[in-house]
Amino acid sequence: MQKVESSSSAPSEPGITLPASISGKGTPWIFLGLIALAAILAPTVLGRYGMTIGITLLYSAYLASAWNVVAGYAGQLSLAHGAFFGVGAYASVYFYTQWGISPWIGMVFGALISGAIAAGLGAVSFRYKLTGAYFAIATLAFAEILRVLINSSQYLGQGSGLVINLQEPGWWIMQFNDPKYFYFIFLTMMIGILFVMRWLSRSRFGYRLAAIRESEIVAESLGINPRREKLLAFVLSAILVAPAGSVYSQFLLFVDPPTFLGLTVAVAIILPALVGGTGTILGPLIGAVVLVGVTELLSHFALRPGISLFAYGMILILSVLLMPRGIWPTLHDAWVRRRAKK
Amino acid sequence: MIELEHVSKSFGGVKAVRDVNLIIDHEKILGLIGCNGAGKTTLFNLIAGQFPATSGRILFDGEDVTALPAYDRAKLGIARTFQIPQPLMKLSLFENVLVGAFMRTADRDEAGAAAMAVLDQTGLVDKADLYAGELTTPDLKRLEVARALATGPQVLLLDEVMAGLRPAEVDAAMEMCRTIQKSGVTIVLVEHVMYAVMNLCEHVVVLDQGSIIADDTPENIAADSRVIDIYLGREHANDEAA
Ligand SMILES: Nc1ncnc2c1ncn2[C@@H]1O[C@H](COP(=O)(O)OP(=O)(O)O)[C@@H](O)[C@H]1O
Ligand SMILES: [Mg+2]
Repeated sequence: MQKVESSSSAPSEPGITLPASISGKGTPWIFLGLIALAAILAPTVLGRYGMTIGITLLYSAYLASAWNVVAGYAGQLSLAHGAFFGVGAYASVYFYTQWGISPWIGMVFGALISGAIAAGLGAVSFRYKLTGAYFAIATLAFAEILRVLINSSQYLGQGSGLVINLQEPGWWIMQFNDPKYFYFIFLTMMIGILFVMRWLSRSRFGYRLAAIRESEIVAESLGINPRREKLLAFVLSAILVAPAGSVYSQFLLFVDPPTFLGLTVAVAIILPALVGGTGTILGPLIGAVVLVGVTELLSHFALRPGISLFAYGMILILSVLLMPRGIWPTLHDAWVRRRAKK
Repeated sequence: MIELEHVSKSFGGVKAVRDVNLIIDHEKILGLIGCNGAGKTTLFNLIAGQFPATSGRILFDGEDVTALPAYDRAKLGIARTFQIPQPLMKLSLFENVLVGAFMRTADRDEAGAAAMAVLDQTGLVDKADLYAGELTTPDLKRLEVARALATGPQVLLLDEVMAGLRPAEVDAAMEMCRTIQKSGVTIVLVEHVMYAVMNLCEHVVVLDQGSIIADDTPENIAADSRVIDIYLGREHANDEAA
């Protein structure tokens, strides 16, 4: 036991590529505290436009983080997350516009519906051992079917979607006359999901997912039931994604298929995680900072329309070529190696 | 503790294991030898439940486990190593073993302590922080043993864990097997290193083309003319050819 005590500092704390810096030991708490403080104070400094960028940033980071739970940790590349996001949005907007139910309550229902759909889709997919590209295709097919169904559903406004009427602002109906409130809602959600991923990076559940991602045969030999754990991760991830759809639809005051459903939405959810680094706590957030930052810069400096999209594509390709594992793991490893040399 | 009754396994036309009857006793070290392709690894896969037997029954402590998936058999106490090491690549050595230790407890500190204890036992403590890509083959073999051992098994199936080790390392590995056995774990040892098999095992089973052709003490096995012909002789011939 003595041995165990003395050497417990040797293994880097858990997490797939989890940096020592976030695992508790040697955590730059001051640094993180400063970032949190800056995030909290941002609304007092930034104007409306800045707030909109802040919202885009936080909600992109949140969505990518939620996807990261099933894709990064469990290694199951879901393309259904655009659909789960839409389910959250449609549920809260429909409940509110039809029955006047608060979007907060609609949000909870949206998350539950999203989770239930994921449970069904996951149960079938994992039952038939659809992994890798096959799982991606199955989830994509599901998302497309849902998009087509909603697109032709009269109850849900078909292609033009549903519009939320402006009311006297208030928390209960999630309508505000200042975007900073949405900023704070997304900030809270983002901090919450960072804790979820931190838990995943050190808990038994997280390690089971990592084992499954690396080898299902080995995982089984260690008493892990891959089907069950993958299903749990998929459902958890779907439950986490949906509320962002509810809040975002309140921010936009509408919901429609192009904005909330389909492959483009799924890709937008995934990109920050891929660029920042999947299977890590901070990767999706860092990816979102980079992507939103690049988009903003380009929209200011691009001379002709279309150039910014082109440049955006080039930056994506370069980042994936130069840092295939993502920005965060690559930088983190370089940093650790430099420290090891000292 | 483990009983195999008329167990067979075919892959398409290949009969990898034919009508095997075998009893694996409590707290002993059982040797399993045979040429390449004799069906040793397949037999391990059948016992561990990686794939179902084509026919026959497998009992664990008298309970029929033939239909149980691998993860349930692992929970009952059957642990195995992989002949070709299968490290979880993106996890450190410590984390690989930690996943095993998590089978018996959800508590991270408890699992971590158990993992460190196993790393100590298998001589890997110094390398706890390394990743699979940074390990040598002998260390990867040790990792296989450590990870399986961390699940707290009753039976440990070791598939050629001494292959490629230097003589001194073989001695260390043998010592490790003895310690593991003394702690109350039954070991089944698939091994080509005859010196280790002969010294460690109370009992040796010889497999040839999927069938058991001999089942005896190491001394009698070494003297059995059929075994010498089929197995030891062939190995010898291979050695000379090489
Ligand atoms: N998964 C598999 N699929 C098809 N054939 C297999 C498989 N595993 C083993 N075999 C075949 O079964 C026979 C026994 O192989 P194996 O059990 O690996 O032998 P050993 O471990 O004794 O060297 C070989 O002919 C091998 O080609
Ligand atoms: Mg073999």
